[in-house]
Amino acid sequence: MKPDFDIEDRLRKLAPKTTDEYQKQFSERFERALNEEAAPQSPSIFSRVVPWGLATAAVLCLAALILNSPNPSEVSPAQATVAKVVDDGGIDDEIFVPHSESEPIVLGDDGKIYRVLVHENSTKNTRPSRRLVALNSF
Amino acid sequence: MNWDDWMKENLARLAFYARQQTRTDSDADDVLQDAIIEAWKRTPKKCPDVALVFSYIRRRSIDLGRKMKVRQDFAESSDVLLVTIETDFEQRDDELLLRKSLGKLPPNLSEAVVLHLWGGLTFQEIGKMLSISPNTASSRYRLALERLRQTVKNKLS
Repeated sequence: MKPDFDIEDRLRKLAPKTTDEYQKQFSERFERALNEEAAPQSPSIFSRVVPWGLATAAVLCLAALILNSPNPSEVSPAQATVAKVVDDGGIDDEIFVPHSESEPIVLGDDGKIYRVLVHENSTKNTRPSRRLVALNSF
Repeated sequence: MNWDDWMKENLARLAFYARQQTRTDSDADDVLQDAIIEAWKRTPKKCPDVALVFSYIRRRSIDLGRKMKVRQDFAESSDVLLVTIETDFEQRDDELLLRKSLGKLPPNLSEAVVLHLWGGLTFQEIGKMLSISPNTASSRYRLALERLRQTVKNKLS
């Protein structure tokens, strides 16, 4: 090797080359990977299960809320008072509401769930007025 | 250009660079594949930009090295699957000397040679890829050539 040879040129000639076998192997492997990338992804088990799980949990929560809501039939007369209920939906009925709850949730005669809004009157001897509001948001 | 032509033109230099940057051949192939796919995703309708693939190889190799807590300086094992042009015996010795000398250069210098001379990247592209100025990239390249020239000269004298 001559000391003054063009080292850049010699290095260029040493540029790496692949064997045909390697080229073929890598091309096949790469093609597979590319097809996997391009193929539409099937939903994973996780993505399929989670929405159903959330929906089920929501239904269970709603059921628990309904079941735990004060049921007039379960309130003993000693713990409850009879209130005249006047609602703006035209229901005019007497229901039992527990003393402890200022705004209980009750089941109306029509099978709907209502929240009882309590309005304390200014005079002592007058019963608080209550108003039923259907819980449509449920 | 179709994929086959692109592969034929670029696979060797990309594979070599990937081997330089990683610890094993299998790591290099993984990194290379992921880098090409990542570049392809940016422009799915045409073949990837080679400079971008070099850049992704480097980044993924660094990530891999961090994971494995190993960073290889230079891989001479690259010849396992790579071949060089057939030459006569005298030239063969010269090649070996040059290859070994290149392998003994500091990584940042040999990287400049590989990316510019074999990878075909401009100093502008190398600078962008390595987060250095094009002038610094050019200086590293020139310094690498100078050291190689000096090494060869000393060995022969």
